[in-house]
Amino acid sequence: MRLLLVEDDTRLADGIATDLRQAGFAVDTATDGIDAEYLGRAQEYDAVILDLGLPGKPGLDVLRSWRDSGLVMPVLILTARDAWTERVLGLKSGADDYLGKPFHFEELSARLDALLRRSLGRAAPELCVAGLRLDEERQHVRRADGVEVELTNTEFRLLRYLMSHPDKLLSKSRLTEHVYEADRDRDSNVLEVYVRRLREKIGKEHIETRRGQGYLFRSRP
Amino acid sequence: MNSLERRFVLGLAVTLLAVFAVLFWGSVTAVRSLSEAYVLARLEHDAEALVGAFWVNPRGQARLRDGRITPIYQQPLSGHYFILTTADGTLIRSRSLWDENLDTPVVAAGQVVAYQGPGPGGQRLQLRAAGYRKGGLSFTLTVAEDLAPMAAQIRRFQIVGLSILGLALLAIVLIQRYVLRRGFRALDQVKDELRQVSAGGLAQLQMGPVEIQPLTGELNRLLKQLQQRLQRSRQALGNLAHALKAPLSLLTRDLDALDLPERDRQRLAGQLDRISLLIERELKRARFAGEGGGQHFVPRQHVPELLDALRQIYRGRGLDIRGDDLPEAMLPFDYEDMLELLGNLLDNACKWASRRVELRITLDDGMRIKVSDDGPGVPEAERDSLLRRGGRLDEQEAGHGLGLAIVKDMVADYGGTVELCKSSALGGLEVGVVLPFPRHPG
Repeated sequence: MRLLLVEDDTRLADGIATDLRQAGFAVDTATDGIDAEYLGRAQEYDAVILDLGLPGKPGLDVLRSWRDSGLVMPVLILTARDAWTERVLGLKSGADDYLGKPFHFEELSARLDALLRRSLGRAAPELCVAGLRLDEERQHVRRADGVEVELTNTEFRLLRYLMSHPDKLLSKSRLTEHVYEADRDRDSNVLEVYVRRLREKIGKEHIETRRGQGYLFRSRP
Repeated sequence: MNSLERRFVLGLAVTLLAVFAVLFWGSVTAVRSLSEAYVLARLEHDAEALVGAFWVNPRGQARLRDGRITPIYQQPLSGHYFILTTADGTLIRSRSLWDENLDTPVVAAGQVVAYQGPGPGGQRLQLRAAGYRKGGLSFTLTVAEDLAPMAAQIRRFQIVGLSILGLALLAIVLIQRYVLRRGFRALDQVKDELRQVSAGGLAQLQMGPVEIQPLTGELNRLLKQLQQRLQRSRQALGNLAHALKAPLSLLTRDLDALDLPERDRQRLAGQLDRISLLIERELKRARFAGEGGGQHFVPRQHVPELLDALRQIYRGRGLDIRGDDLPEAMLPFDYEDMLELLGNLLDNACKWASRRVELRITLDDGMRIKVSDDGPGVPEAERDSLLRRGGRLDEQEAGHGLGLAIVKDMVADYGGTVELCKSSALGGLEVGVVLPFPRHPG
């Protein structure tokens, strides 16, 4: 899952980004409203964490302009301006959730998970497809045979994205976009390496290769 | 009492009284001198008639021809008298004098003397003595007339005049008082409008009549300044909150990331939560507009938006958040304060509810808010400490349990009360808040 984090305080942004990466997200950051608006349009994000008091362009204006041009990714507003009048205004302007500062990362993470689940139309808190059970907190996967396998951060990201979109043809570029951050190496060979490692860990039958098209995660292997 | 109306009416009455007194004195004097002149003119005519009736008989005695004397001089004590004295001492008196006598001077021929003196029966007489010479005899003819009938006329004139002037004075004072009160009614309107302003129903005053326009204009300027200042200070506080919360977020984050023994972590986290609570409390309190601050609160208009926002925030939990029969009235409470109050109450209820949250707002001599949930509730023994401690603080909700503490602060600032009890309908906690309507002196 790839997130856009918009926060003008760079130290706080770095801190949150680190935590989010540890939690298995690819994170791009923007520190002003104009960059944020551009990134939100240029890249398909799975969710956005948006501060309101931004230099360049106010967060609410950025949000409205996204929504006006039909962008529907979940947006969580994370702001110090958390009076209820401001919350009401933020949610009316198209935000999906609102979190006031200061906050605990677990709270942010829990809300983010809920948003992502909702946007993928998933009700259960645990990601569970084709006999595989993904423990998002510990970044483990439990196979149908009951064996728990540890995943590296990138493996976890890749598997989570695959399991979130079962039976859908996912191109290599789409997978790369949602698993890696903007400034990382996007050699598609690297992706192939990770897919191969995943297959070793969870079993070959789950991930099907469509030559020249991409990969498909099967809900019924 | 320092009353403009009393001062004005008193001043008017004193002025009018002085003017009327001069007028009255002038008219009475004029009437008196006119009537005296009139009496003297008649006496002169009578004297001429008497002189015409005067003849000297062959014996050289002065006589009056009876037939040519006006009958009024014949009736006893009629008030019209004459006495004719010749140089040789002959005395002819009118029959009306009966046996009374009058003091009469001797006046040289061609001279006239007019004076007043006592008459028969206590009468006050106007006398006219004139010297004549006829038929070789010099004589003084004194004609007199009782002044009583004229004095009575003058008194009647005085009474009528005085009552007309008195009535006029009363009428003028009453009319002026009425006009003044009508004028002051414009000020009453300003007063009413100011009351509405302080209740939050009006932003500016109407200008009113020309005379009070400088006043209303100045008040409007002041009101605008006040609103601008409130807005500026709110903005400044918002900025301060923003500035303080970023480092606080970072500290919270760093602390969470540190590998500390659980006891130390909790101790530090507790201090950070305390700082958050203090900042939050003080900001909310300072930002809090209090009675009659900014925009007034209309439950029917403002609450549904808040409920929608909460439904969106708690969408994942499928909560049934209800607020039915909201009052349509415009209430004298600040809209932002009320949204903050209700937002905190409802958010707290939503955190603990399992399926349902219900909001009720009713009006009597104040606004009554009831927020109930179907959560686990709070044991009676812990309810007081819950309000004191501020929020349902526990491990999971640490740093987010400021809700009830803020509610308590705001309610205290509005002079209201907060009560916690078990919800009879939903079974969870019910928070009841009563905010009295602000009272105005007068």
